[in-house]
Amino acid sequence: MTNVVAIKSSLNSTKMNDVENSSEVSDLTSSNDYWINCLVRIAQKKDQHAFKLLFEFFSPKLKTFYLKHRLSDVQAEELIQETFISVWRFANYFEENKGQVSTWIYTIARNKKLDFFRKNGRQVETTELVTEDWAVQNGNQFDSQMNLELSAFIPQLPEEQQEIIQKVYFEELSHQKAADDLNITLGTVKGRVRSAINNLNKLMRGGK
Amino acid sequence: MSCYHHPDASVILNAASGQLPTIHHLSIQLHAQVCETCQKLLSEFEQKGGENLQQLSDSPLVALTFSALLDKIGDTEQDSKASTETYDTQRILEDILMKGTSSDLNWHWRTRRFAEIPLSANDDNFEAKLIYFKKGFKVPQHTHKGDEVTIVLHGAFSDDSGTYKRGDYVHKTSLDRHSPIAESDCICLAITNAPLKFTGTFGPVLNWFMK
Repeated sequence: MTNVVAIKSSLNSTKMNDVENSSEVSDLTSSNDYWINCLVRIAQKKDQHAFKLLFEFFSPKLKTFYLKHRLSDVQAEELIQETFISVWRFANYFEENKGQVSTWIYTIARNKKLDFFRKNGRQVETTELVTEDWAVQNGNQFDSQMNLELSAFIPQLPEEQQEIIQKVYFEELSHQKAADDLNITLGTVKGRVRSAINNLNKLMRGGK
Repeated sequence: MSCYHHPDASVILNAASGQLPTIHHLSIQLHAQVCETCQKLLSEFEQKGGENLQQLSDSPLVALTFSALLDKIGDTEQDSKASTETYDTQRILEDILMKGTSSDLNWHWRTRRFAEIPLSANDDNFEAKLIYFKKGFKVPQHTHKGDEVTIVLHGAFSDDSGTYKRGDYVHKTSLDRHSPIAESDCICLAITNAPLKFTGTFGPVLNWFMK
């Protein structure tokens, strides 16, 4: 907890440049409080320096994110620009709810991508399994009273199922690449994804 | 108030990881605004997306600079109509879900008890509509060529499989044949990836209306 306080007070001081140049930078950029502070400054004071810190850290990562979705350099940077225009404009909405800054920026960037695909008539790419499921399942819907307990769902999955979700859905590896990475068969990858989904459905229904 | 009809966890996962088309994605967001459990799973997955973003390697920007970004922001702030049609659709749908109504709704009445509004957020692969049934209105039996996702925004309707209330997520496939009836005045968002087809006696007439 003391670390967090230290970060906040260093950010609140006017010597932000000193902090950036110090060896503590990598610790800072992995701290959510650091980024919250930047967004609060944007929301309250239209602080361009705080905005620049966010831009410099996240835009090269967003570039990688968009390139992975087979967008060109020009398209990727166009969407990065749109993402940061929204960050600037809607920082006050974030301020009301707080949460993880990386999550917030991710959801904005993801939605810009969806909008771009829609406008350009491009199909959203789905993972292999999803397409199969649409063919075999009789409605991707279930009917139940839901689990209202507070503990998080994903950490309750076996480690190997969390890992496969991470690789297939968020690192967006193909099933084959995920299989190679983990040194398991393609069938095992598909089996683990399926088990993870089944377990999550059960957890959401309160274990039934 | 909690819902009884939910999207499958795989649909929530696809929404979080950006693999649902915009309008289907929007339907999940609407459901999650009313359903705490689905919201929780959606948020957990989105957090994964954020963590993954934060850990990605850097790719250098080629043309975009910070000062160019600021200039662009300066330009767009002059232009208050910068919001896109998607946001307008989202705002209208959220208003109906949270407040039961929205301004500027221009209903097209097809019968005395049934109205609809085509939505602009659709893309070529989907058709999205707001549908209004007055209490007691029975939609003639129909099937779907493709899939139909319905989110109840206000009121309730029922069919052979159950009763659907505010926030409920209803997914019908081409195998389902149903004739929904409005339990109260009811407003729904309906998304189809192929037009629905009426199969009863008045089917041909209604099919004509739906064009």
